[in-house]
Amino acid sequence: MLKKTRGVTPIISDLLLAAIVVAAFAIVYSASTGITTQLFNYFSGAFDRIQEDLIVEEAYIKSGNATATLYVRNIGGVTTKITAIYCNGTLIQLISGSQTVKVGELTILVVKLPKAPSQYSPQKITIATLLGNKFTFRLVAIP
Amino acid sequence: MNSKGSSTVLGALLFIIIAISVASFTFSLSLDYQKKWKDYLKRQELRQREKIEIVSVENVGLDTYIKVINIGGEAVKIAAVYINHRLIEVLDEFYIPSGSERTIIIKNFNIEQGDYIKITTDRGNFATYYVTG
Repeated sequence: MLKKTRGVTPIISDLLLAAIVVAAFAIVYSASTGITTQLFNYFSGAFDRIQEDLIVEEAYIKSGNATATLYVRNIGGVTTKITAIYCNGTLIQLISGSQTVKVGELTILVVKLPKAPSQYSPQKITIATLLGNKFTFRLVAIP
Repeated sequence: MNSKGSSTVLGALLFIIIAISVASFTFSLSLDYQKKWKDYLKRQELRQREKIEIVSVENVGLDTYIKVINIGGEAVKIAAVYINHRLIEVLDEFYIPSGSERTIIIKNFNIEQGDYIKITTDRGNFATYYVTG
């Protein structure tokens, strides 16, 4: 009886060792894949940030009127998602207009300014995007 | 006895695999970066080479004719027409070759004295015109 089970322990230990090695490999593989993907996404996002470019090609800001119209064109190389618009450092409300702008596309943003501007008063408009860029333009209210 | 040096060989192999992986990852990232940077510079260059001017603006019947000349070194695509800071017309496929003139026709719209006209290109350049007389 004893003679028959003599070689079992080394086999079990081998199997256990193999299982531990496989498990360790799986953990290391998944961790390294995760890190590599995160690194790639980080750099890829940074590269896309270079490509992003917006321009306010025209704006209609009339004195005494707190609603302004911004004609924003994507002149960059990637689709832009506008996340926030600021007027003189204050977050302003977007009344209408698409916040996602494809390459070459024009979006008409109607925004609510914090207060109605006086004539010829400069308004510093900042457009923030999902990729982390900020585009600032100086617009002047017409009489 | 025979397997005495195998761990050194395996270690060296593992090191080579890791080194090649890191090098290829870094190389592909830097290639991607260079390509995007090159695209960006190319776009800026094309933008700077663009130059358009509005030659004349006149009412013809019920329409407005805006004559535009491209005096830059690149063909331009006119994207939009604004009058008095308001979008009047979006143009889809309106190209002007370099050194040529083309007329934009705004249907059923007449300009008046004091009107401010702005035409923009898809690369973000523009030309303006003030109607005087």
